[in-house]
Amino acid sequence: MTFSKNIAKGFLVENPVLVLALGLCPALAVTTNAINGLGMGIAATFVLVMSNIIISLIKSLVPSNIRIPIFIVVIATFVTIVKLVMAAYTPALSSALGIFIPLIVVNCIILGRAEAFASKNNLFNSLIDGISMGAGFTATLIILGAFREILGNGTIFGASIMGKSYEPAILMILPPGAFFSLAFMVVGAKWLLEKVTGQRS
Amino acid sequence: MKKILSLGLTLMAFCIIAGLSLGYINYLTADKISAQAEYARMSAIKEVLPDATIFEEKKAGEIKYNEGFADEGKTQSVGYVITAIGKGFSGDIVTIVGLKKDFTISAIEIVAQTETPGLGTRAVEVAEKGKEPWFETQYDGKSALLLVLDKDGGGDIKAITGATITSRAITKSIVSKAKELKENLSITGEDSTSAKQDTCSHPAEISLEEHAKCPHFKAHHPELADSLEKAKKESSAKGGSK
Repeated sequence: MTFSKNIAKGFLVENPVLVLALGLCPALAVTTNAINGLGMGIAATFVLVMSNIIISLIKSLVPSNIRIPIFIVVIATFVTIVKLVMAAYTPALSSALGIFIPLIVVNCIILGRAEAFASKNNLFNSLIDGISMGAGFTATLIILGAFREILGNGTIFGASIMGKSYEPAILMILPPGAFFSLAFMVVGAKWLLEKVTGQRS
Repeated sequence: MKKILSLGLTLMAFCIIAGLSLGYINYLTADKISAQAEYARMSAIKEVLPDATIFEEKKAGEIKYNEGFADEGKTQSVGYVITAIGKGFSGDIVTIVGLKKDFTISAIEIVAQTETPGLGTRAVEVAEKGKEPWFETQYDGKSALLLVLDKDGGGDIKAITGATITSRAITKSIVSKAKELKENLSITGEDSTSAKQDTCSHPAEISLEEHAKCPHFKAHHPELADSLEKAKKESSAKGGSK
């Protein structure tokens, strides 16, 4: 895979949420507004990149049939270290991101990329993969969060844009709204993919 | 057999390394983390009872609370600060509540919660135009013993849309803790309505503001107290900051 394909794949061709269907749980749960999407995306990207690096480095030490528990131990340990260090040295940021940080452990993207890519590729490519997937994840979450926030709250990033007479569709910030929004985005992504690659998937 | 043993040992080796790293990082950060938590708690206590300059930790029966005093000598009690803990939607919600002597709320501050982002966390969100968290400020001035959610029978506490459990947990925890404090204070006789606090202990020549800090002020001079409160409300409504 060329470098340019590798760095761009996370946005559309191999978008973790919309195409690979990974990380759906946090994607649906925290995107009640755009800033939450951004926060979760940044935190997950950081962990994803570091996890890909570490797993790519230790891949020769890991026996194939116990690789999954080992990856999980590595990921969970790393997330916990990040949580502790942030709580101690950057308390303001830590309480702003709050519950997002422990939520990253259950984000399938991290384990998915460790298994599918980092354990089989060299350090540099794994690093790029992490950046690309993380950036794609963040962008998707921001769009999802913004969509739900505009319709469900009349605001975007906290700033009111729908005017005073707009009655917010509260449903959009509740779980059903999450599923509806995601469905529209998946359709949109497929349509875009067809245009870009000229093939039906 | 050898294979299984070697796999098991490999896994164990990874887990030991992980455990040791975690233990080490925990050791490095534990003090800092509890210091941060204590700092946050102390700031919250000062914020919810702004008239008090000195706080003293006390215990009445089973309940721990802080009593706030306006003076170094700890003679003019401004009120109490209690920690209310309620079971929210996904974990405990810890609220620091500042109570005046008559158990009206001076302010509340939610210091710990793990509610759903965008729903339950709206309890601590700052409104776009104002500077105070709207959910928390709506408690100011209400009696801590009589709080009811609008959803639970027409009370005056506005619940958060889509986060009734969160709103209810906070409200109920405040009421129950305040009631517990009131009961325990009456038992130990430190209640502000007990007779020994009713006598005047201030000099005859005293300014209205100074006089207002006396515990008997409301009881002895109700009209003065009322007009002073009205004047305060008007001046803060005209744009005074908190």
